[in-house]
Amino acid sequence: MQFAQLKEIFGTLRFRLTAWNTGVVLCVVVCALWGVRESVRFSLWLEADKQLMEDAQEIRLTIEQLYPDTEQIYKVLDRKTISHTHRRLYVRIFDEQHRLLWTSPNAPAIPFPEEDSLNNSRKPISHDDFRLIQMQIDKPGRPPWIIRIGSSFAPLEADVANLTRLMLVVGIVVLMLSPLGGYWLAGRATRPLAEIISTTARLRPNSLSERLAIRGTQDELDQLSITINSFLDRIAVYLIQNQEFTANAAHELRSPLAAMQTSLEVTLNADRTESEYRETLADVLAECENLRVIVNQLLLLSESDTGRLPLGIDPITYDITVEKSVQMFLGVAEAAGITLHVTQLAEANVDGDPGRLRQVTNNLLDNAIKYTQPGGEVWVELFTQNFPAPQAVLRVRDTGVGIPAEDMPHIFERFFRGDKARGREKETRGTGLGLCICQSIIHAHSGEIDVFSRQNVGTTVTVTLPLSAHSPVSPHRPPIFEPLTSTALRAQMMKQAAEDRKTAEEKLSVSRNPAPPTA
Amino acid sequence: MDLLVVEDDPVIGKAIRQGFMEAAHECTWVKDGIKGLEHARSQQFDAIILDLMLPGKSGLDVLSELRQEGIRTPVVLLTALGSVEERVAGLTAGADDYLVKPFAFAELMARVDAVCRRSGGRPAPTRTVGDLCLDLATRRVIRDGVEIDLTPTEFSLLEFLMRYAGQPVTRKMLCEHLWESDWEGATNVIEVHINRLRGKVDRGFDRSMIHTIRGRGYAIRTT
Repeated sequence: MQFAQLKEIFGTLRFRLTAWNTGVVLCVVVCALWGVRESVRFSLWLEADKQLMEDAQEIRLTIEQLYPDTEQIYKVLDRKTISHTHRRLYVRIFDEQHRLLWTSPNAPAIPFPEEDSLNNSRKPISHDDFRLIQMQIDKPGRPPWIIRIGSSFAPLEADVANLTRLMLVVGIVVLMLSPLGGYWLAGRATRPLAEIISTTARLRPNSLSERLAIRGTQDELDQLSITINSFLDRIAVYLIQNQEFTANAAHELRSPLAAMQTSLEVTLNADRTESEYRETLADVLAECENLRVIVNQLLLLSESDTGRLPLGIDPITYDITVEKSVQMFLGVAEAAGITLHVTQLAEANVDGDPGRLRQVTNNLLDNAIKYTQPGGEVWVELFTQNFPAPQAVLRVRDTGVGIPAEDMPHIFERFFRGDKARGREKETRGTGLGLCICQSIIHAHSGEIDVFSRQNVGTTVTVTLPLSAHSPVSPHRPPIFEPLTSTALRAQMMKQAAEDRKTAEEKLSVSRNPAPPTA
Repeated sequence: MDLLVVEDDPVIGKAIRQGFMEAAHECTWVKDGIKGLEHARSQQFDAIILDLMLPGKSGLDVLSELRQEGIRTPVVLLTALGSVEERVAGLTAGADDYLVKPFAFAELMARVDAVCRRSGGRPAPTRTVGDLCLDLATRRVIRDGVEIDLTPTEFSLLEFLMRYAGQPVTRKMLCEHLWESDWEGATNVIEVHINRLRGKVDRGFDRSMIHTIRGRGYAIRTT
């Protein structure tokens, strides 16, 4: 319990910010103090060496000046060493054979370093506690005596030690103050975060109206709040759409249910003949079929919403998919007195699910035929293009009633139905999900679907799908067929179908997956 | 046919059993996977109709165990989900066919017939319903001694109806047979072809053979 609490405290952003802050401040202070100490020490040494050099020069000049009065020389040197006792300055004088001529009484009883190392370097060297320097008199008419002087650097080191102690004190004070300051600063910095957390924690899916306060500082935390707010906006929009969708879906499901309930209740109210019972049951069965279609469509949309729309990713021959759809609707078109033309059917391989793409083509053809008056025409063309990308383009054009301009922005909305009077009555009954499902499927295939329509002139739907990477791009293939009337195409396709029929004879009995739901 | 139905939903199970019994088939119905497995082991059935979501033992487990034991009885799976993965898993485990709920009973019957026939051998080269005779080899159709000229679509449609003579065939089954894709839209894409076929097969005869069964589909029968 206690450990968990500690862990919680140590885990907070505030604690970690403080720790980092303290660490960084300490490092900076330690480096700075150490740097100051070292540079002070260096300049003290430089100063001491300069002093030593000046002393040596002074002694040389004294000897040169007073020679040959050695008594006087020794007296002056003696006085000099006495006046510098605090740094234990001492002097020794040798003749050119390195025989000691004079030494100050305070000279330490330490052996002198090797001759070589001292030679006439004129540069101070360290030996034991002393800095030493040697100088030879080279003035003509004066003996080439060797002057060796030294002074202790203990006082200098004592100064440095004092400085170090002072700096330690400063360091400890900083060490104690910086976590306090850091903790305070971190608290200031994280306070808006705490507000964001508490506001966000209050949000519930059914009350998303609250938004985070923007402080107007334009800093990162404001950016975070803005980002979270726009995320909330998107969720709210999505939820509203979802609620509308659910309500619409429930409404759609209610109509067939109501129809079934009423007809069953009325039938049960009295004794009926067998044929009346049959009729009721057939009605109920038809409504069940409606329900099944709606449920399948809703399932498909829900799968596509959650990105789980199962799609094959194998390359498929899209031209064959389109051709099969055309075959399916040839009979309907003919019966409706509409001429169905296939003007171009270029070879096009796309990656995707043949069943779903077929569903799209079926829907487009069905719509085109449904909303075109007898005597009208529907054109289908499939071609490939390289610009802006290698893609297959399917275009379905009709001379139908068209879509009113005010309806155009809504045609892909779920459950949107245009003016009920614009097509032939009975057959235009649909769930209002067809185009929306087409769009979902095409988008899931990374494609695009566009609708262009003019009222009383006709509608053109264009579907573009990226060509499969495996397929050779054949731009602007000449049409396979001359523009065909449905009858001519029919003859051609029937011929093909007849050839296929032998092998396809037992098609249904060969184990096949049930076809996906169709809009 | 002697069938085993393993289905825990009482309404569906009862309907399936009733449907098959009325079509003069033997039908045993059990409600969980363990009993289903016992029955399938102890008795020779012509086909098994197996639900995937079962209490006791899942349909997929029952199927795998049967196949591991070398029991090759044809199996038609039933499921409510119908995702691609599920279908693949079912067929890989050794199912012969697959049907997603909700389904038309006629389709279930047709699929059971199909898997039984497949395990039985080649279909007959000719089909006869009343005075209508269809020859698969020569692709000729003769009614009462008169040859009828049909387009390939019409021939295929007639052949399919005659394969299930006397039984209703749904629009979905016909769509999948003719164009390899279902069509659930309001437009009746089959009707045009049925009407044409009727015009050729029934015209000039006093008894019509191709019947529309409201809410269910079409059937070919002599009465």
